Amino acid sequence: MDRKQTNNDLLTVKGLTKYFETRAGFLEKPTLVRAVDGVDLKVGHKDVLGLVGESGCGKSTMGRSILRLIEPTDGEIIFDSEDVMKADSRKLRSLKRRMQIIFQDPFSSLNPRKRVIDTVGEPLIIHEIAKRRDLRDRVVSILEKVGLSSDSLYRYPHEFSGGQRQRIGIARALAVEPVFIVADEPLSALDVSIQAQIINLLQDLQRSLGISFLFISHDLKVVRYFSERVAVMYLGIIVETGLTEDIFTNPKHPYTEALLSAIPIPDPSTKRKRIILPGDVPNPSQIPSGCRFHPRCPYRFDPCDKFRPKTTDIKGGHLVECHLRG
Amino acid sequence: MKLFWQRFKKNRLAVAGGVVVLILFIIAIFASLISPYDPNVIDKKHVLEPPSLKHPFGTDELGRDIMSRVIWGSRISISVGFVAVGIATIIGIILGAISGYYGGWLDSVIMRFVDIMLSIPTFFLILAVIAFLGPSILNIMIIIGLTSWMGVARLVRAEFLTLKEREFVIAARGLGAKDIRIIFGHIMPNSLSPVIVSAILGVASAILVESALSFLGIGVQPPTPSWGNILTSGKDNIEIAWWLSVFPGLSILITVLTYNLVGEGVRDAIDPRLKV
Repeated sequence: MDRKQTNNDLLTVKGLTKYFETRAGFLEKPTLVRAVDGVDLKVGHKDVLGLVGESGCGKSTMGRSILRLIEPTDGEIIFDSEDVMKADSRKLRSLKRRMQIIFQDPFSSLNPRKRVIDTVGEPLIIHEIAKRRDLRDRVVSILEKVGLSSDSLYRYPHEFSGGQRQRIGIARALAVEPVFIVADEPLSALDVSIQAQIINLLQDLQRSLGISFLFISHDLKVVRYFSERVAVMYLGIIVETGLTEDIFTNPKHPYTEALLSAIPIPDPSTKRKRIILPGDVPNPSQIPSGCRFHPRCPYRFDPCDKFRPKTTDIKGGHLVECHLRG
Repeated sequence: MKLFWQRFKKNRLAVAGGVVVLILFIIAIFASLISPYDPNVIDKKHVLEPPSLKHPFGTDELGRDIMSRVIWGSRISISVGFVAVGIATIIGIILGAISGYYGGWLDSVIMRFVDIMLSIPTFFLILAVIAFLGPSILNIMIIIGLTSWMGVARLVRAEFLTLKEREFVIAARGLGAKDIRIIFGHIMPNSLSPVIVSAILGVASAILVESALSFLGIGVQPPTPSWGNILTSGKDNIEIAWWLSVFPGLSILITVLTYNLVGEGVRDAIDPRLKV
């Protein structure tokens, strides 16, 4: 499948940046945390882009910035040929009928004092999709899509298990019939057996409703299963992006290599090279010079700590930012 | 809610307090039926009589029946307590919600105002204001309310600060909900439990303030009976008529104690981890 880089893309993000200012004390100098530091992304129609990276690399911040749930510091977000960054509050509301988000923690993502019908029905009321009297039927049909029965309508979130709660969260996002969903680690708070159910549910929905996903995860196996393309994030930037198969079989960035080598393999007799990265992810308020991966990179050489590498196209949209490939 | 009752029932002191609070309520509401005499009828033949079957709490220096006055006084005390706390809670919720939800300079301004209000000794502020406006029950309610909202504002602000970062609130924003809907539909209902507790405890302290003001003669004015002003006449006659001080004093003690017990019981039942 070749990626046509046309304006056919559903979502185009250019140079997205989010800096947080933190102040240690009243008179201290504020320090700048560069959570997302100039990210380019494209998500096509009916496309699934997996976004992987360690915790704290800015994945969630980016997902939320795209929906302007966090106000980005800078950058350009074009969704369905509309400029999200310049949208006023009315425009933004109508955009939110088309782009939605699913959260990580199904325990904090549902209002504990609202029944399922209120939670799932709220978007219908906000966007005046359904009248109060046919709200119930609408909610029932949405719940069916995510595999919940109408018995759950008048129950509260605490009466459900984690997997069921996540289904409710998905139902809420589906209520407005979006074309694009940011799934912010939707599986990582769930048991493994439930994870499989939810990922299958997402895949079914993606196929039957043609929804595009930005699928944020640190579980590479799930990303490989679900995504068509993958972007690897490290310290606020994307270091490698490409088709899922290319990334997984032929990683070009040393960081991607290291990440992939950390995937557990079910067969213990399989021999493999396990790359252990020294040190921790640097603090995003003190980003290393040059290539930001250089302090931990096993292959670093002369230019790495001096210049930031350019993005190189290996083949057909497989982009990598590394001096080794430049 | 069911869980709340289960936990509340386990706390026997709180349940006992609740029963007493309820009884006091009934007494206050049906004061006209329960009180044996008109609280303001002067009986020159029975001045300063000790407790007897005819006058269970004795009579005061004008021959008025103390029991009737204490019963009518409970009406004043409880209504002052509730109205004052009502005013304080409403102001506190509004300012706390604005402060916590919008943050920024608005938050700074409101919180510095809270600090200023807290730095003024409330009681003297009340004294000064009443000196200007004149003592009336309504003025007292309003003034106590206007000087006791700061705690509620801080509580509500803190709740808003944590709740507005919760994912269900972010989800609501992601759905395109307006601020009003988020504040009243999502954050407020989840932030009220500590407010309820502080309101119940606040009633007790408002009753105390009212009694103190009335005792000093700048609260509820005679002849309207209030526990505080009965105590005033008790003070003048303390050497010859102990019953004049003891019964209103006990009423204040019991009321404040039971409200505190109920408040603490409710607090523990709402959230066992929450110990203010």
